[in-house]
Amino acid sequence: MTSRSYTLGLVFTLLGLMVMAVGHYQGLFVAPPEAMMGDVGRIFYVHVSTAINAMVFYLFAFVAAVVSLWGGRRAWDATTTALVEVGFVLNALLLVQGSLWARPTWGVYWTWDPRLTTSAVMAAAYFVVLLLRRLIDQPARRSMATAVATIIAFVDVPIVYFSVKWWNSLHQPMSSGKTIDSPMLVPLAISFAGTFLLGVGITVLRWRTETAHLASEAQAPDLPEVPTPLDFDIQHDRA
Amino acid sequence: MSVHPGPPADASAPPAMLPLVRPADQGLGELLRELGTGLATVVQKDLLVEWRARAQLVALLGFSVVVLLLFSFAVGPDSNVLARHAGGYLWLALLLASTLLLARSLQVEVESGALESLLLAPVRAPAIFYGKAMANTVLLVIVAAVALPVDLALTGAQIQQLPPVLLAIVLGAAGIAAPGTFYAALTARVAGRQLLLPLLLFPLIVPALLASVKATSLSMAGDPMGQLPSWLALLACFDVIYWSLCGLLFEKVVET
Amino acid sequence: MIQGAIQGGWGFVWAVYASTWLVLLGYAGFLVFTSRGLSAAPEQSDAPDPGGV
Repeated sequence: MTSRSYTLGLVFTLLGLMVMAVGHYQGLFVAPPEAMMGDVGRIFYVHVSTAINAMVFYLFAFVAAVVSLWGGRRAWDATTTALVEVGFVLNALLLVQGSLWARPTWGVYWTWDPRLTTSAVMAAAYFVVLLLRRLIDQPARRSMATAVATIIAFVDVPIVYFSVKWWNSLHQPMSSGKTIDSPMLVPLAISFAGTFLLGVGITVLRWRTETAHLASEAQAPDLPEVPTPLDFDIQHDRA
Repeated sequence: MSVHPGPPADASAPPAMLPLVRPADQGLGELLRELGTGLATVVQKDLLVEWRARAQLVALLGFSVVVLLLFSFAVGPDSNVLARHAGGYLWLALLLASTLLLARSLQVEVESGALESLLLAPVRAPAIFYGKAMANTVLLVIVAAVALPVDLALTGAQIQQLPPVLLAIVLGAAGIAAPGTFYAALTARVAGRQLLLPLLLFPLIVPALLASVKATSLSMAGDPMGQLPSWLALLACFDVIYWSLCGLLFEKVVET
Repeated sequence: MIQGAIQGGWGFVWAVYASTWLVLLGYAGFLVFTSRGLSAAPEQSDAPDPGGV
């Protein structure tokens, strides 16, 4: 791991922030107000780009997890972790954004519409992946568990979406989907690109910190965990 | 009744764990037969272990009944409300019971070190997984068999069509058992696993839960729009996907 | 009906954008500072996973 990756990460981060700023500026001040929602509709640009990017990074994480599981190199474990973490942050963010958008438009902070519900379930699933990582200290098992849980979580996403959509279909679907007018497309595209570049930059930097952590761990392994008082079983950790 | 570890390994077989990819000289029929024997052995063993420790199973049944009682108390005596959500209570009780059941599922193996022995014996990893998952499915169905009449009694709900309920129970139990067994194995040696297993499992089986509850509720309350087959199909799809995926990945879990 | 609900409109917009920037800037900034000057020997980051502890 050289300083080249730091430069790369930093460049992407700064670039991403700048592009995102441009996109958001466009969305907030230049683009016309939305037909039905007025200015509240401007949340669209940041929310949709966050949402799509969350899925993109989860997809990358899935690929990285597959490689990590069948390739077994530590670098891929770090990559998977970084991507899951970025995806999760975006996921959590989109829940907050969605909730704040729902309030003025639908009058409630939460609704069981398929997208929001799926996002919540996804956030829970990926949160647990990160939690697993904290709780397993043996490197080989940890990287396997991370990869496996990531793969399974990703496969679950379309199933959850579809089942919730169907479950909801009897109720009035408060769908926010609509055709996108062209003046809205440009700020959206710029925002999306900015968030994507930022996400890449953060992934690279997070990869760096994780790789360093794994390397230092290999040199001085952490002491095995003492079974927590919450653990009711008699058998001690056999790791 | 003796439980034997399957066909004896012949001298040329490597002592290490058997991979899923078959050696070139083994025919497909032979592979399937071997998987089948291993699977049957594991199912038999697991159910036997449960039978011998049947006090724990009885406790599990008691637990599910208690959960149903608690739901009834929490919701209140309004019989309309209770009856309408009877399906939901049933599945929540099953889900909570599954947490206890699954956590125990690999406990025996881990404590006695039998997991390694099982792998060294000519039982392939997928057979172990499917065997355990099937045994857990059976056990969950047993819990459901007790929980369902209790649920009906407490909520006053009635079953309009029985076969879909039974099908939903079997498919739903399978939908919980496969990911559950998988994650139980994954967390078998992790500190704090009793908290981790439900956390891992619950987001995952949301579709199965939704579909099972829907199918059960529709069977109880009536299905004017004929949605039952679709929900059962969704449940079946979920089962197929996760039984395949977990079986595929299980090898990696026990390898480490 | 929608007109009435959007009275607090711009407040929500600012809340969303501000919180997004706060989180992302914080996360990125934190990483920029903590991942600076880290070095693991290059060959180690490509090392295959250790088999056991």
